[in-house]
Formats: sequence, C-alpha cells, structure tokens
Amino acid sequence: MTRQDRFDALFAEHYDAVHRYATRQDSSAADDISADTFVIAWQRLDAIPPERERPWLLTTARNVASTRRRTDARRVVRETTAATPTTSPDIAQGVADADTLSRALAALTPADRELLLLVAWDGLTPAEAAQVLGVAPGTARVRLSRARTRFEKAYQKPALPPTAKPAISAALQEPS
Amino acid sequence: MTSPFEHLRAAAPSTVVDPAVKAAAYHRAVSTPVGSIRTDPRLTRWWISAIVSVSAATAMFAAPAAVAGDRGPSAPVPGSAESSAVFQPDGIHLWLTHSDGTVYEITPTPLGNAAAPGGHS
Repeated sequence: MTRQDRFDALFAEHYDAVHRYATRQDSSAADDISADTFVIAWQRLDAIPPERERPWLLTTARNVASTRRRTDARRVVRETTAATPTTSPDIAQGVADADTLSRALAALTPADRELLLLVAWDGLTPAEAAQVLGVAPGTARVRLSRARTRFEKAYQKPALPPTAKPAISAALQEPS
Repeated sequence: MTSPFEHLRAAAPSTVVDPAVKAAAYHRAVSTPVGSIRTDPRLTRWWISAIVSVSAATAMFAAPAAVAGDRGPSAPVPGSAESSAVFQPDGIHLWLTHSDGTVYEITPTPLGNAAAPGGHS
C-alpha cells in the first residue's frame, strides 16, 4: 500500500467523523478544522498508529480547534455566547426525545459532555477518549462513569412545567 | 427498556458534508509538501522577541557585575560593615549571678560575645 493509498483510505473512513467532532468543537469553523487536521495527517502519516487512527485524528482536530480559539481574538465574543447554559450539541433530527436529551446533556460540565459524546457518538473506547482529551485512562474511566450517572439522572428528571420553558416552547405546546 | 445512554447513542447526528468542501479538504492535504511543517509567522515573531528580551536583560545585569569586578555586586568587602549580617550590639553589658554567688559580666566584643567572671560577689 502506497502512502497515497493509505491516506485515501484514512480520508474516506474518517473524514465525516472528524468533521462531526469539529462541528462540536466549533460549528462555524468545522470545515477549516477538518481540512487542517487532514493536512497534518498527510504530513505525519507515518506517525499515525494504524490501530488508533480515529483517536489520533480527533486529538489533532481538538488541538487545531484549540489553537484557533487561542489565536482568533474574535472567538472571545462567540465563547461568551457559547458559555450560556442553553448551549448543547445538536441532536439528530427526528429523535423523539431530543428535548430531553438536550436538557440532560446541558446538565453536564463541558468536559464531561465532551467525554461522554466521544464515547457515545464517536464510538471511542474510554482509553481512546482519554487519549483525545490528554488525560490518563483511569481518570477518563472515572469521569465517564460520573458523567453517565449525571446524564441519566438529568434524563430521568421530569421536564420543567410549561410556564418555566422558554416562550417559544410554550407557544408550540398550545393547542391550535 | 432502553437506557438513557442508548438513547444518546441513537441520537448521534449524521453529518452531511458538502462534497465540494470534502474534495477541497482532500486536495489541500495531498498538495501539501510532505515533511514541511508550516510555521505560524506569529510564533516566529514571538520567539525572536523572546530571545531579544532575554539577551537585553542578561546584558543589563551583566554590565554592573563586570564594573564591580569578579566579586560581583553582592559580594561585600571583607571587614567592611557589609561583611556580616550578624547583629553585633555595642554598649550592652549583662551581669549574671550564679547560684554560688559568682557574678558574670558579659560584654559584647567585635568578634563575638565574651563572658568573663567578674569580681563582684
């Protein structure tokens, strides 16, 4: 297998996953983060362990996104907005309990949410997620267990009464 | 009954990336020369300014040391007032009376405290 062949296979298999992860990191720059990630992957193809390609790519995407955040002063405004508790990752269209899932995810800290979604949505093992986040595998396992417990508690908690929901949600629930 | 975590797994968003964006990312990657690590010019400038700052600070502190000689600016001249940080009181006399009635007079000297039995009893 030539270098080109390996990269083609890598790109075909993982581009969508990297883009999905990049969207969670910064939805407005997901295209750029994904492209930068694969530029680095092309340059350092020999350093990518064949059995850990996806964790390597997601780690790189995370670093690229982090560098962008640090260097782009305009991000400050966006981060301030993103820090509001209403922010949560996009849920797949058509999921019946999307509101409940969003609420349960919003109950987690950003770090716990990222860890949980790396396992639930990106299909990583806890050890691979630990590599992406740059923490020890044992630490990741403990944090994942805690995040799952919190997520499930928040998921099972009854929804807020209609009066406490945002006005738009209340309006949607009114009989026509 | 499906667990909340399984609900979460099932709710993973599917990505529909614009094929043009995907193709552009691919071509950008493979057109990059292998082995060339792109250096951010801002990083280069940061390193240059850091090296210049450290050099300037070193020169600033090294110059007074050279003027003061090999001792450096913090080395006192032996015998001078700066040569010892030990407090040496002057003009203080203490008389201590032993249980047998002997009185000791303690008088500080420039070389330290000396105690000598006095003649007071």
